[in-house]
Amino acid sequence: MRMVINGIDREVRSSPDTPLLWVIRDEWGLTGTKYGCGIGVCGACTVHLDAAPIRSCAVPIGSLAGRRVTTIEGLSPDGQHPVQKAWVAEDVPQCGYCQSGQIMSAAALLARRPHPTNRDIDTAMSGNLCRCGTYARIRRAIRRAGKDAHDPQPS
Amino acid sequence: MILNRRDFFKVVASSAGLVLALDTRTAGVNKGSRAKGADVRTFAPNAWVRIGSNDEIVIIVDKSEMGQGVLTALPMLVAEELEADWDRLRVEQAPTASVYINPALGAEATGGSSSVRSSYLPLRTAGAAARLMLLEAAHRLTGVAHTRLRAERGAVLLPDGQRFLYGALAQAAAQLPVPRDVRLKSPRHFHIIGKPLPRLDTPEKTTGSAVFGIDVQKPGLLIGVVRRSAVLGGRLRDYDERAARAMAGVVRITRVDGGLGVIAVDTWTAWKALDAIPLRWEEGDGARASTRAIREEYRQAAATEGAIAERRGDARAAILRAPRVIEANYEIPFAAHAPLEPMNCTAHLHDGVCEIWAPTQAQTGAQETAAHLTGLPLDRVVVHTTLLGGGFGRRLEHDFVADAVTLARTVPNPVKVVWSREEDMTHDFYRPYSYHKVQGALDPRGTPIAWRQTIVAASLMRTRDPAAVKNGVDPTAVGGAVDMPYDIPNIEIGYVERDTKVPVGFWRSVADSYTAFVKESFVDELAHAASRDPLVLRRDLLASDLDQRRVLWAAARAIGWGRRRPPGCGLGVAVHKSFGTSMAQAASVRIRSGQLHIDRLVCVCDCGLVVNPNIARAQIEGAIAFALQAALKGPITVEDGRIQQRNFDNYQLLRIDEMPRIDIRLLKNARAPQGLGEPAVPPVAPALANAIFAASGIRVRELPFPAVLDHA
Ligand code: FES
Ligand code: FES
Repeated sequence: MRMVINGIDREVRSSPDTPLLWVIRDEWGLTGTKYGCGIGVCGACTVHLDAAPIRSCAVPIGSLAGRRVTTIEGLSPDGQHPVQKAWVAEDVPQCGYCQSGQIMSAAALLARRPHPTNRDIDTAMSGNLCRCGTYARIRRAIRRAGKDAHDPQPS
Repeated sequence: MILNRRDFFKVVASSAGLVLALDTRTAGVNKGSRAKGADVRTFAPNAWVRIGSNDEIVIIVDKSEMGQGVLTALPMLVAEELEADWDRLRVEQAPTASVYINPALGAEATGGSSSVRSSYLPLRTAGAAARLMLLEAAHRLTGVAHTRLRAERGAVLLPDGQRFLYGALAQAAAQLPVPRDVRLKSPRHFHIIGKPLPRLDTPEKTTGSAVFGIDVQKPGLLIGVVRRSAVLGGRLRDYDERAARAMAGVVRITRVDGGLGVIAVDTWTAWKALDAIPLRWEEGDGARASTRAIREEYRQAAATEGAIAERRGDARAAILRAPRVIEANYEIPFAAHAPLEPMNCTAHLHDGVCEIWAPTQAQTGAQETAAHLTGLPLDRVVVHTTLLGGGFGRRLEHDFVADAVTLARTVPNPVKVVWSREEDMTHDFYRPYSYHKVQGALDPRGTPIAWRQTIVAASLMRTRDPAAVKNGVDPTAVGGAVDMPYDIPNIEIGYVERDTKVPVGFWRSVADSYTAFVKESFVDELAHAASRDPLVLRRDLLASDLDQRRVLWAAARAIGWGRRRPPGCGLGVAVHKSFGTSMAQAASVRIRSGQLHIDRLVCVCDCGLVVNPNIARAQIEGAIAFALQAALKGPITVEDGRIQQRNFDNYQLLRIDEMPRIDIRLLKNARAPQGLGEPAVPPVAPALANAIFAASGIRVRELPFPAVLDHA
């Protein structure tokens, strides 16, 4: 089967029961998307399926023929997506392991709601765990990205 | 194949493409583009500074980056004295070498909140020595007197305005002797240290290009997975590999210590194969372990005579004579480290060398583990440190390194072992469970005159370094209870060691994570029993620790201590010193229908000189989140010898909607930097418990707090 990954049409060789996460990491070698729990509860593996954030560890590849997937590597050509810029400005990451997932969830939120309330932020982001406790900075970065991006591009 | 030394270095150099490096010029990843070529001369006056004649300035970091910011904070120490240009640096992770041994830990390792503390003088000295040699080289080259030369932003300046870039002086400087007596700058002249500089590793951590252990890729890389007994201490008896053998992509099925490993071409294949193998276990007597039994045993042990960890005056006699004695028991559960990156490690045996890529806090331990398993001498084991997706003490262990080496020995390829979250959660080295019996005596005026505490907990050192357990006391089990800062004339701290089947380890802030909860809760109990203001009583008892008094007072003032609170609302304070740092927490809470709401936390910190306030604040925010998780959620429990929590669905971490407002103040203090990664953890739980009491009259003596706070 074939899928579109970060804008490139690709053949998928992995067996249909393989979770999308492991196709992304092992078959395509895109390691920005992380494994944290494998059961859809930590958000480290968040990618966009079309424009929606999904937990790639919980979606078998067999159901995705022809779909478009965007990973952190494809969020912007140069790491300059408004969310990435805001993340740098607020110096969000500590260990950084959860941050690809956090950024993908935040980008999807802002594409839907360019000016999220604190409650919107908490709701959209509560499935992305950060063991290092970067939450205060994540909130600040999302508010900043909302302000800075007059015209947020849906990814 | 036997290699001579030179070949060995060739092998190692050829794999240097994965050296962890950051470049401030591109503010991003720049892996393996080491300056090479015959015409580049390198000036390397010590193990932390390397200056190429092409003006590439490299600073080497010998601590593991696990989120605490060493890849930025440590280069700041060197750059300050080197007078380097902060915007034109390359930062590289150190290899294993004896010069990188952490004097605070006796090994090349990262822990004990020691990175900045132990590096503050050595790294500044390294930078200063290099600067002096560059100045000397400029002097010899130009004849201009030393007093008229100035080092600034990576160059030596002459009075006539001429600039010699450090690179241009590198070759000449390399001929000079390394100075012995190096005068360091006065902190008044710091222009890098003390600045809230952005972290150098942030850009790569926002694009997905940062390489953690789990992201290591090598030509021919295979994936290894492991499974161990669900019962603590259980061992694999036998297994039937027939079905798995037949699966496409499965390369090897082989035992690892206590369990089974599978090597396959990718992760999903390896897990599927492991699931297809019926495993039979030798459960052993671990199967009888349960939290209930441990609690019962500890409760009884608390009534026995402990080994004396600290004694001042005669607490027993004072308690017998005192008009008022307060008594309470406290209980703190096992806790998991649960870094978001599960345990993993890559190993490759080739050309008589064992190469390891590991997210490790303990390079020496990793090296020794691999040498032991392979029979290779230590200098044939090369450890490359990757980024760590969290550590918190878990990555001081070497079990995951052993797995990688064990599996890699069976194939010519490099093998990356990745633990599932379930393996990671159920085979942690947990924060020890502890039980505390405390008695306090008050004189007729309500002043505490005696404190007697018996601590029951497993020993961390018993299995690691039994000689560290002295007269029956493991210092890592009683830290934070001994050296009682409160001026109480009669003190006795006893320790009863009770090891259980549950493996225990160093968990962010170690014993202080539970002793501070007991100390700061119980001093509150004494204050209430004596009808005294808990803040004022603490202040009076801290007459000989003015640092703690100062942070406590500042935190109390910031939270609005003394102001009237509406019913159901309360304030609490706690203060604790650990890893050299005094830390106070103040909490403002509301309790509605038995539910706890944290309105605000204030943290005031005195950690000596702050090298990077931006990173310091992040460490405190993170430590508070870590402590909140353990106060509000968890715990790790055991039944039939099995850890009951297997993943984040039933071992929950703190979520963003549970993160309260936090205000942090860093007090100015010119004394040398102290620890920062851990000290904000201990005071969080007791400040909250004290606020809960103020709000509701409910005294919580167990962690985590009950889900519903009522007067049952
Ligand atoms: S790895 Fe997918 S949600 Fe945790
Ligand atoms: S930054 Fe470490 S888990 Fe979020």
